[in-house]
Amino acid sequence: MTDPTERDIERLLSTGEPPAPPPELAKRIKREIPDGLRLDRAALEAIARNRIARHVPAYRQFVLLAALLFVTIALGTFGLRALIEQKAEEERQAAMIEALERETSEGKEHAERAAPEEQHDTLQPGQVAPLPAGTLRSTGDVDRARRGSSANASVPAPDRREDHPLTVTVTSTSGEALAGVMLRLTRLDPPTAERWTGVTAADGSARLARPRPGLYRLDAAMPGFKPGVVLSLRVQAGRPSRVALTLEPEAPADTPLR
Amino acid sequence: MAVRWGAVDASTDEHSDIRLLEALAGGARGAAEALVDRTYSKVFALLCRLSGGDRDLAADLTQDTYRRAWASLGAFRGEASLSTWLYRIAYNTYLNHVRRPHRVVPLEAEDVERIGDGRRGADEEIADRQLERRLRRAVLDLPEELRATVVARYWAETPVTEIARLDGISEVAVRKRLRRATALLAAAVGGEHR
Repeated sequence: MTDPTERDIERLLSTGEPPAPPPELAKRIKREIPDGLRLDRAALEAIARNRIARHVPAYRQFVLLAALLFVTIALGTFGLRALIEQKAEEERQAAMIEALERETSEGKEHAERAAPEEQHDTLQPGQVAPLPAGTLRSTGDVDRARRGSSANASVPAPDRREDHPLTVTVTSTSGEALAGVMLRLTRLDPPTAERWTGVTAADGSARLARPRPGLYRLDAAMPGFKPGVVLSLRVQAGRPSRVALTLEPEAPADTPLR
Repeated sequence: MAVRWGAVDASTDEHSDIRLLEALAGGARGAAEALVDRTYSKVFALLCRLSGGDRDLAADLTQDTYRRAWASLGAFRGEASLSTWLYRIAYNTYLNHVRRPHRVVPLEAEDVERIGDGRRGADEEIADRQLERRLRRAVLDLPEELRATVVARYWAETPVTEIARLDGISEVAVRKRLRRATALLAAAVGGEHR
């Protein structure tokens, strides 16, 4: 006979029908129940407390687990948001750095401070107001305008007496200086929302005191004249820029500059 | 505040225990009787196994058990169910019985051997009974904490969770005890056989 294994032992311990008690045993036991048998109220309360305490660990574990899960999800969400925002911020900064590097490589001297009168969105007559950031410098190298029937632009030799402004002069085909011409100067590189607007003075000119080097587009409009545009106006660092536009008279319809 | 006692549920779940206890707090005798009805068969079966099949001894010890239970009812704190508490009292009642030095312990049924009649079935039956007796002796020879755990688990059919609560240990610890105990029992029974 082989030695019993542990499984055999477990089986042996568990097998067998439980022996039935003698028929009168229950009665004999009940006969001996003391009169006035009573469980103390304080004992009952202690039992109730123990019962609650018994369930507390499981309940506590559940609450701890739920709290841990909540904190993990919350931290994860915040962390993810922070990461996304950080990424976006890094991309924005990278784009700004790239733009600045490009401007630097064009040889601009970057002046941050702008004259108070040049910070207006609406230009004063005779003046093109810059955006709050930066200035332009020009050499006067300007591409010829393409749009507009008779608008053409030429850039005279740089005026070294000026403090590197951009000067726009608008005349009619008859050579008359046009006052009140609406001008819009738009930065092209990079294409941003940087924009200057204004109107020409009595002598048909407008100035941007400190334009930033780069590429611009200049639009000109006046009621009674066909709109004029300089599609590619390059402002070089360290040099004043001048551009002259000629507007062709038009039949009655106004073309407001938007 | 008096507790109203109605028909007591015979199930063994916790709510049933609570109803019984509340009824006992109100001094309802019927609650005590319901507790007896619910538990006495198992108490007797446990004591019968412990005493090696001595039914008379088991019956006496069962009555003893309930006397002790009524006397110590106030000390019950709900660490385990009422049934488990009773089985532990029954177990201790048996131990107290065998440890009484002046008491004459009657010849156990296992000491009376039957002589087989040569039939294969009868011989096997005898061998099985001998094995059961050896096993029982080995259980009683176990270290106290292992013995109590084995008796509670296999003879009183107490769930591991209840044993853990009663002894104030983890379920893992209870299972460890059971594994150690069965290993010792296997060695003891196998060694005896050799």
